[in-house]
Amino acid sequence: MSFNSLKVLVCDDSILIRKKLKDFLEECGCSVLEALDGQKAVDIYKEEKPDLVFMDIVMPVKSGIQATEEIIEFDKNAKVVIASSSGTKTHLKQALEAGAYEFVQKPLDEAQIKDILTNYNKEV
Amino acid sequence: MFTQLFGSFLLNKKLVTTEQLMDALNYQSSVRLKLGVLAVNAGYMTAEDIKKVHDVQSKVDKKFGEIAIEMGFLDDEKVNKLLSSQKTGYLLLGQALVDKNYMTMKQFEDAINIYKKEYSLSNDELQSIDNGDFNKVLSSFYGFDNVSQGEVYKNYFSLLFRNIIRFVDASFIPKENKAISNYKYQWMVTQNIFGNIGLDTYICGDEKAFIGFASKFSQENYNQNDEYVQASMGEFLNQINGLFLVNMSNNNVELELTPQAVYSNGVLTELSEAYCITIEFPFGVIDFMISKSN
Repeated sequence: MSFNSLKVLVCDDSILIRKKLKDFLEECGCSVLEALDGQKAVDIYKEEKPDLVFMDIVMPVKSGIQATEEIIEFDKNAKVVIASSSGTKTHLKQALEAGAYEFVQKPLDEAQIKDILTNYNKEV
Repeated sequence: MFTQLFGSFLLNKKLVTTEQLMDALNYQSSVRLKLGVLAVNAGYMTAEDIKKVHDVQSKVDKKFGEIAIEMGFLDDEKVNKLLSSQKTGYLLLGQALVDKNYMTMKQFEDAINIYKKEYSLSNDELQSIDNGDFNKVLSSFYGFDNVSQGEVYKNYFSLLFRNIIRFVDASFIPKENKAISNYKYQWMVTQNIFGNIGLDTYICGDEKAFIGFASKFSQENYNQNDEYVQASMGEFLNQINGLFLVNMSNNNVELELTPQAVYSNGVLTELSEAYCITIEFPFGVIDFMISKSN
């Protein structure tokens, strides 16, 4: 399945995670934007209005939860997938309260990413 | 995990060298367990009995089990039980050491018995440990006696070891844990866990060890200690700590993480309740550390 028209923002402070996610999303046909902290994600979102955002939680400058809140405040239809290595009850609760579209535990595998893209396509 | 710890025990007892142990750890994945090794481990036969069966086997074309039954060492029920038992981790290591002529069957049998005696373990307990009762393993091998959160440390290292085996490399030798208050590092990745309890976690090593570890974890072939290597080390620590937070959250303890950070050529001082476990990998030596946040 191709996701040619999708513009995806990947926000993670790890260059490794950004690269792996970007490489796979591009293989799927998406165009990918990158942000390395929550504040940059908010700034890029406002400018580029991507279809989908993959957001880490623990990051310097601004956390993924806070960034998600600000993005949703700017665009209540924003689709932010929170991807964190620490899927604690608190994080899950925070993600839902912030208005996250989905919450997934890292490391993300390719099947998971494809599912997220497919679900997005079905919904929109 | 018990395989690695049992290997370390053999090393501490000077029954094998580091090189022999590393070679056997690498070789063991291709080893097929022999019935004799299983029978010795189960306490059904001694190394001497095995030798007698082998002597007969050199003259008669029969299976080991058939001869052992004929000689009265085993019966059908015992053979079936042995054959149906799971591939036992540390026994594969034992078999590898014997196959490679680093130990005799007798030496391996003695080592198992010394281990059982030193840690007051029955055959069944040894089996349950080998089948993955990690905390029991850690309790028998590593004590965190003077630590207010000893149980938390045990859970943390148990998780760490399981994930090293899962995501990095099963061929490693864990050394004893050391209580430390200062530590000089060449390269270090660190992350703080905070909330109801405060812990600082660290992974330290030299450049070569970092490159080797990161390459295995990321399944890439890194040649230099660049930002990808450092990000890989950070991500491994983040992954372990994330899983630790999930486990703690399942026990209703909610914790948070700081972003991980990488440093080079420095000294940690005035560490509180700090423990360091050194692990020797084929690609180098890595220190895994945990301390109470000041």
